[in-house]
Amino acid sequence: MKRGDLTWGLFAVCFGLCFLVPCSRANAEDQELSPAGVALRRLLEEYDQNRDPRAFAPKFFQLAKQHPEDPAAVDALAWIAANLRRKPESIQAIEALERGHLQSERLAEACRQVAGTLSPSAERLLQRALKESPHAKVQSQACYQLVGLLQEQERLARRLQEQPDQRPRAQQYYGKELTNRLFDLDFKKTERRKEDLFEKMLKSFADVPLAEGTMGELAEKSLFAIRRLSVGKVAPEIESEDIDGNKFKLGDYRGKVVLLSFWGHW
Amino acid sequence: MKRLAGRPFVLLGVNSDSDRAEIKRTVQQENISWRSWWDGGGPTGPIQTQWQVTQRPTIHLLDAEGIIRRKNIEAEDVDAAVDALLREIDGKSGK
Repeated sequence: MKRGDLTWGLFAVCFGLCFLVPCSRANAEDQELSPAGVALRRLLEEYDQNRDPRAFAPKFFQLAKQHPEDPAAVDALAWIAANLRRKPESIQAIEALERGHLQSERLAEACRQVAGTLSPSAERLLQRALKESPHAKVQSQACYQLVGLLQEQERLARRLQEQPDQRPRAQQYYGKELTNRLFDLDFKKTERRKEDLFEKMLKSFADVPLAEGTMGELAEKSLFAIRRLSVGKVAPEIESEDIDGNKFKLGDYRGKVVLLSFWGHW
Repeated sequence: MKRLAGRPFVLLGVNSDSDRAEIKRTVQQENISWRSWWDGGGPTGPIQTQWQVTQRPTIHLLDAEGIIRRKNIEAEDVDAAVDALLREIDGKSGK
């Protein structure tokens, strides 16, 4: 099965691009915008001319406050979360989503932007959305984005925990909340959380399509990777022919340290 | 890898090249002394698929019990990691 251009594991492209590209456009439909939708579009156009997220955050907050029932409120708060990553406004916006919009169907679209912040508040929101949202679309997106968030946290945490002297620098870049999270990250616990999420994905969201394949297919591969291919597991047997056509097995080399190298071009 | 001669260590490859004759030429030219499985040519062979390998080179490290100990290990970290696992074997045999 093709997996495309992954850079660190199973989800790098699927999640990496989603995380690293800040979203400056909300997902406003073109047809029949509500007054709040119109106001949001106008705000976004103004922002495009100005490009100072901090100056615009209060306006987005205000829009969300003035139109609490409108999907544009969710878009506005998601915009703040994504564009002011590592700033207090991002956490405030995520908390506002948690307080006032857990039941909104629009939250499905916000999951990706929220997950991109990698923050503990994002984790909480996604966890609750998965559990409490009445909309299947929100649940499946929350599940998918949450597992990607955990994957990315793991990757960063592995690097950081090997270099504790980098903590002050990390704090400057990621902010205090996320830095503490990364340094405290328990890999075994995170693996179990991911396993639970993939099991949920397989059970409840198997048919949801992704860019490549379905959530069910992704969950199956991921569960195999966690259960059979992760550090601490016995390596799956390899039994096949060598370059000269002679058969041999990985198991033949028990008792030896094995460096397994995947090489070659296509 | 010469410094590890006589130690319980082996390098094994999984090769994705499509032309077996070409691989043999490479092996001769580069003096590759370690054994590789030929994964059917191309990136979608059964071994690469099972191990979910999507880019090359990818290097994993297994201990003497066949347990995966390091994944996607960087070239510069290999020596220290292999030495650590060899010391484990020494430790177990009471050396």
